[in-house]
Amino acid sequence: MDTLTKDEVVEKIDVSTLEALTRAPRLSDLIRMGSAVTTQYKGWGAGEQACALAAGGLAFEAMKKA
Amino acid sequence: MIPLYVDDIEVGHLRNLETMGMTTFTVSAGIAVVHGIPLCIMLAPGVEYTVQFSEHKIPVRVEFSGQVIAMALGTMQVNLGHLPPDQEIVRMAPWSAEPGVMPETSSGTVVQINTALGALAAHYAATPGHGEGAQQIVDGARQALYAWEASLEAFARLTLDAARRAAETLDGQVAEEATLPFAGTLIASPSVTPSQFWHEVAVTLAAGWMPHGTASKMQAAIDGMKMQAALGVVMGSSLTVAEAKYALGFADEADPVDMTSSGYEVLADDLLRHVPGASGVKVLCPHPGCRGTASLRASIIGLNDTHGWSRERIADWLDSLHEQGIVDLTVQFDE
Repeated sequence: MDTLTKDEVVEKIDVSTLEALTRAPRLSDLIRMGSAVTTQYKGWGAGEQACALAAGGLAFEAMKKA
Repeated sequence: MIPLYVDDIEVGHLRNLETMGMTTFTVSAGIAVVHGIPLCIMLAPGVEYTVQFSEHKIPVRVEFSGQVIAMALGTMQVNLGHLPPDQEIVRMAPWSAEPGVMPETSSGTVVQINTALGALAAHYAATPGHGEGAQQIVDGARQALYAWEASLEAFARLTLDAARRAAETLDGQVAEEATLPFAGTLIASPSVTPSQFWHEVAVTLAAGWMPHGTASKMQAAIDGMKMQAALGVVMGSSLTVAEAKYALGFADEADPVDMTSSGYEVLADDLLRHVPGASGVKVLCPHPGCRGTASLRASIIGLNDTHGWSRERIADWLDSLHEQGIVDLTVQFDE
């Protein structure tokens, strides 16, 4: 399912969870954040499907826009 | 004589080299990371090659000499059967985790299955801009592969026999792993015909490459299919280019695979560039039974695609690496 665009998926990511961290954010944190709004995919993915690294990348993009 | 120079080699499984103090040994197949691209280098069967390690640690300069017949993306095996059992180096393929189990089958023959497809895939993966060394390897492999056609049938039989031996020896141990994508290896059933055999190779390799494949890799797969089909003709196979493309999901009349990037790979790599602590780090695969050693990026991809780990489990593993001080996974945001 890739009904949403990349930007729309990025907008769905709740960056407050990362901002609430009391330590510096890690790669693992971003993967979890991106995973919250996407489903796992074997491959980079598209739309609402993303692999672990892609999920992290989406979350990183969201953080940059926040 | 085709000298091969590579920048790096996956020596995680060759760690015993250090304790053994060896600087030279012979192999029948090997994997090397050339400018960041894992290449499985397969050498002509029945011939020994000398690999010179100039030093015992990564990066290591390796020289293969001899006739290279093909190479492929994927896993590897190294023939170290000539070593005494107590000096055996752990075998290389993901499913061959236990040392001393089957040295006679760790002959590189399984990966030799990937011949034609691998050569072309390596060609595409190595270009553009990955350096003269990689191109040299590719050119040598292609030339040698063409030269090899004259005895292709004999080679096919050799490969099939080797795969059969491996399948019989490994039996159920590899059945699960062999069906996994991304493995890049294939254990052929003893009952397959040459036609079916190559078809299975095509499907397996496609499964391995497509998940994280780029358009160029997909194109390589298509071109590899053409080569494979050509080889099939030589072998009396009925597999055609159309059939091969169908196997890959590239049938002209079918909905083609989206060759355009979703951009997610770009996002992922942008993120990794902001995790400086992960740069250049190689880690052991944490999946039970897998002793693969790879970059953090490749490891995460492998856990996601090959081993089927959930992203949360991957994140937990990453946290454990960070907290053990193995890798600093702190994300650096631009000011």
